[in-house]
Amino acid sequence: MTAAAGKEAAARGVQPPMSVAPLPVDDSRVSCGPQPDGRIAGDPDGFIDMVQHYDRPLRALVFRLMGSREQMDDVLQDVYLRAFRALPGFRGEAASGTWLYRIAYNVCIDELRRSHRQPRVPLEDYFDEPDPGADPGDLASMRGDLAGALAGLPVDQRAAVLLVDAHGFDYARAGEILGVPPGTVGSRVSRGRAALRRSLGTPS
Amino acid sequence: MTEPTDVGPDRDLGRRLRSLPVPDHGDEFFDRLRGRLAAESAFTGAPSYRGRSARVIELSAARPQPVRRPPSRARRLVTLATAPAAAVACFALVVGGAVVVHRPGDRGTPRPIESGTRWSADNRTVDRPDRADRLTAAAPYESTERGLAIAFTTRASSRAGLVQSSYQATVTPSGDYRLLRTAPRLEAAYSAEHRTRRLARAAGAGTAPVVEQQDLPLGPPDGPALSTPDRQLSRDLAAAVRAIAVEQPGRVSRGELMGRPVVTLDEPLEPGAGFTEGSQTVDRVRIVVDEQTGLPLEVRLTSAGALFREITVQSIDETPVAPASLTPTAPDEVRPPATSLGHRPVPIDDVQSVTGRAPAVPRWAPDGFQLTGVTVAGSLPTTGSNPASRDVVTLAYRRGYDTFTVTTRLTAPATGPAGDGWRNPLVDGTYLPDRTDPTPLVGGLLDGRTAHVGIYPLVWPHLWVEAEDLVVTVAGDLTRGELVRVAESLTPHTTR
Repeated sequence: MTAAAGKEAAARGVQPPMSVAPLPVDDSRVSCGPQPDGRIAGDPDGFIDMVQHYDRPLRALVFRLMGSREQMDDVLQDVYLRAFRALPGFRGEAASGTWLYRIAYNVCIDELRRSHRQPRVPLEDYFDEPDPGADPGDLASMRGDLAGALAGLPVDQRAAVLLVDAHGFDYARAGEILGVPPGTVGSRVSRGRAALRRSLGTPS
Repeated sequence: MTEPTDVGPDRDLGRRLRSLPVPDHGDEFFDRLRGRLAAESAFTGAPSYRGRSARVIELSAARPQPVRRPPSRARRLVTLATAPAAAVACFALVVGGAVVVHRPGDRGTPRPIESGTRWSADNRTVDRPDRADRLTAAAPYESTERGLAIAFTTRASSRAGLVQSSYQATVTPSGDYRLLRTAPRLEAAYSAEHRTRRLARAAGAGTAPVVEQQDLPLGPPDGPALSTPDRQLSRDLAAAVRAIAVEQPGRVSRGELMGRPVVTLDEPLEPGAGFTEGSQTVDRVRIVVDEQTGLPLEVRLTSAGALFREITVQSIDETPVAPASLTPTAPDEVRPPATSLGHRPVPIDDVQSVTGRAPAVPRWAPDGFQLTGVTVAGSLPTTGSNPASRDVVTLAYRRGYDTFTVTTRLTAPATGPAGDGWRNPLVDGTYLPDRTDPTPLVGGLLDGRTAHVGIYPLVWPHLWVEAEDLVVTVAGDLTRGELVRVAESLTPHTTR
């Protein structure tokens, strides 16, 4: 979002997405986020205020599953619309973050299955300029390699690795999102990590 | 990446995953969403959360199911064609008939040339498949070539503002290069003979961690052409300008820069012709190309007047290449972790025994180009929306600093879903547009096929064509006519 667009969005009461904010290292931020209630069911502005709390981590997940910003935006439009439609029946048994993640994962899978399209390596990884502020122990090329290696994983393993390692969900919560038992999450994470190590040449 | 525990996150991997960029939404994302939600509310009568009986939300736990299709007749034929002779016949059959067209000036299959640069590792096992365990970090290059010493800077917009970097590069006509960035320090050295690259980046006051990449792709579409440090000195942009200058000379201007003859493309891009990254869409390009070397001397990509990416060459000088100048510094005791990118070098005469079919080889190439490398990748993971591919055979040709590649690939893995049709391999998986023109091919293995030819800014000049279960690409420093003529001259290689 450009600076001008950000100001315009702020004037409308919409906070621009925080692309530089780090992802939560555990799911506390997700689980302690705002919960839907009667004030936002049927209230687009209230609903948007709520989902913006989760928007960046959801972008991070969906972008890596779908592979392009355009598809990320399309998927998240559907995610938020489905969540909005489902609000009246939301019982609050799951944290709203987990609930949104699960919708997001299902929409991604639906979209990938519908179109048979495979994820793409984002251009910014290909054209990536080394970030002077990054950890000097990281080679510039490794970031692009990691993105490419990640994109090469089957989508179920990729989602499991992202949810557990990047988004900080435990296996039980990740299992709720993926719709599988925690043990299945664990095996997917193990296989995904092993495949990443092979791709990156990292000693296991 | 740290050793994972049985349960719980791999924190090092998590840190690296979280450092990957996350794009912002498009500018109108929330406006569009608000409109859709408002329409939904109006349609449903603004349902209230409270006061309605609770129900379990049924979210479909959809998981990907493999799409299985019966193999096509062509694929069955290929699968059965295991004998070398049958493979040759099958290749000719499925690609469309082995009609060999000899044009005046055909020079036959180009012969491999020897690289002038030698990789003298402590042991000479670097060309063995198990060399990853045998290399030492002390692997100096010995070269007697003359090359180019290039000083250049790049500026690129980022979320933190403009990031400027200064580089010193040395490149040779054989394709070796060394790249040095001063701050933060980054070194890269590439051996064209062995398709091996070492990368080192300073870690504060300590030693430089080194990684090694082996079996790199020889060029597009599976990787940037390795004739120069293309990732930093985007030579693909220059190649497009040179091809445009031949095809549409009115679009470019000619002049001199730093005493060197140059051709300049400076124009706005048509809507849809640029690419969008984050919230920026590149809508204007200025690219100044050294006519003698094909290197970009100046690149400026802008978005609504704001700088998106810039490359400025300060000096370019022909120079003898001393061995030490191509040596990546690394502590002797360190064995760099090595990664194979899968493109194994294979002698051209051995490709058929590896893949089961004779490689397609051009019988024509522009004057001066010679075959300098052949690789085979058994299987490659999918990128972009295209299916995974296997038996990817790449032939690389060089003429000084100019390069082009001819690549053939089977379009579906041996098991699993069949391909759904292909998109342009040169741009699929990127945000670059596909602006190719359909061009019928006459002659050779691809006789009667329709190729897609792309000569436009920001992309290597390229041609791609589907032929049954094969996708063929030709890309590099070629004009439209040369791309087509190379494609029309493709015939099965015959072992000498």
